[in-house]
Amino acid sequence: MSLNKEEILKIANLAKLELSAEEIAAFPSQLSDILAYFDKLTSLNLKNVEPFISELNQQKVLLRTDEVGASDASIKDQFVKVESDYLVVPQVLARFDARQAKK
Amino acid sequence: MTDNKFSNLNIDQILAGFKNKTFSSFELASYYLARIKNDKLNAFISVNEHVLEEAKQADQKIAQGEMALLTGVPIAIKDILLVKGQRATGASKMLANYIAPYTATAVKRLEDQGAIILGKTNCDEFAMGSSNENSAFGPVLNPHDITRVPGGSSGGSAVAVAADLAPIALGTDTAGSSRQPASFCGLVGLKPSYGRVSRYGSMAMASSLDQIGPMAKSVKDAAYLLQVIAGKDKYDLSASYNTVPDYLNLLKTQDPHKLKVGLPKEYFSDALAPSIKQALDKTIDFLHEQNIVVEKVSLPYTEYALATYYILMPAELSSNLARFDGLRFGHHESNDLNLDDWYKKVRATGFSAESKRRIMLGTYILSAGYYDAYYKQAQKLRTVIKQDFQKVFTKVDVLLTPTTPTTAFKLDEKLSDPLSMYLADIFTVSANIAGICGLNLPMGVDENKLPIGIQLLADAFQEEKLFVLGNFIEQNII
Repeated sequence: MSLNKEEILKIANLAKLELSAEEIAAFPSQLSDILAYFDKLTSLNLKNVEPFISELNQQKVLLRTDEVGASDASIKDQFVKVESDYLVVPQVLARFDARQAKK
Repeated sequence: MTDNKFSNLNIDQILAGFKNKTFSSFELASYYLARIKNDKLNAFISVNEHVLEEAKQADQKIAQGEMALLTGVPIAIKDILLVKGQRATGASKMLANYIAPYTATAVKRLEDQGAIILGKTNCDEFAMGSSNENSAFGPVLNPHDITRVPGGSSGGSAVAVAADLAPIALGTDTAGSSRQPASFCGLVGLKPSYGRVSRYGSMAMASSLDQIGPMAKSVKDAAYLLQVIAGKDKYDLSASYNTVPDYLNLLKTQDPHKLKVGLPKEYFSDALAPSIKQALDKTIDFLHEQNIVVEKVSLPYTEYALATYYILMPAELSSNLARFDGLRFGHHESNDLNLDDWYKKVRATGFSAESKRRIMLGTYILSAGYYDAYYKQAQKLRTVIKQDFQKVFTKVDVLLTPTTPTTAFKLDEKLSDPLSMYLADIFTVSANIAGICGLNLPMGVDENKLPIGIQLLADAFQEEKLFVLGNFIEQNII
């Protein structure tokens, strides 16, 4: 399995990463080398093997009761942008114009 | 090394020093602080500004006889773990100025037992790497040869202890990140069983593999640390309810001669550096002399472990690192960008090339059409690798293997070839995949005076076996 430049750009878009020119040049061969290393594994016949799900199945883990606690106000100190008690983020949804939609 | 009463102390020597009034916690913390300030190896990212005050308070407690297990003992913490009010960078530009709003459970337990935190140690960004060259705060140098890497990702914690900037440290281990740098720096490094130590307050890399691990100058010091940090935690349901044994007592009372040792043939290939092979032979000869049962065993799926890891880890990591979007905390953009461009810009400028490489790989592995071929196949491999160990541990108690294929390599040597860098984890990674525990034990030096490490592996929640055998070997042949 090898990846070309177009595939690298597609994955970068899915991963929400902007790549530099150097990264776009280096990643196809670097990632293809790593994928080639996986070939020994993907070609192995494991038809009758159950995939591992979680270590927690084997361990004694008890669910605790859900308790309401106070949140720590110092969390706000790390907010990128604050207005009173609110975290301000860039606009997530585009403005929907009903009149435009009718036309 | 300077020859004074503070140099290269272990925990027992520190506690005796306090008890006999040979020195105070304040004097000891001042010694380490001075060494950290003069450090040219780049082991620390930040220093705890309150450490001397805290040492004074510890001295008062000692004077009043109110001592807990580690009262006044200084410790260095890998900058992957959160300490309330202190910077927590993950060695990433993403969190360069982030102040932790709470303390990791493992660290809190150390504080509750009186330990004082010297500062936060350098590492590979978000614990990704095997050389500590992937840090936004620059590489860490190996104290045994400054042209070489200290190993990674817990390179700063390893160097802090090896260069006597701290007596003990916490690292983390996802594929060998505490054992491999311990091996390169001549220390004891432990990867506890999955679930043995709470990861609350530890930055997540690959959640099904990550563990917090002690790094120390002796097996007993590692046992002290695990004793304190292990156990259930209401903030991390992956932390097991299994009882924490009294490791320090078992270390004194258990007979190492009763343990059976296995040598998995897959770990003893011709590719192993001759000096490491000799160190293993020396250990095996010693075990024979002691009439400890040593037998050859086999873990047939060993050769697939590293490829399995490099599928599972990026898949989990690409999901875990999705939280770094610059919207709520950490590195962000000031431009008035639309949401999609904001994400892309923040992540392009905040992550290193290695992080991006692994996020890309994980995104690809989890993408439609490839999930079954890669991720599901890797999870099946995980099942058979675990079965390998389960079978072997019905026959023997502890496995003896090399920790790394070579001793410390040169800076820049593997930086442009990620795959060769990944191979540094080839002997350590299986323990994480199988959820078992592993310990690096230093075993002499090679022809370049570089430390050699050997690895002991035991079944999940059998850390005491590693301590008992490790301590016995340490006391008799190191």
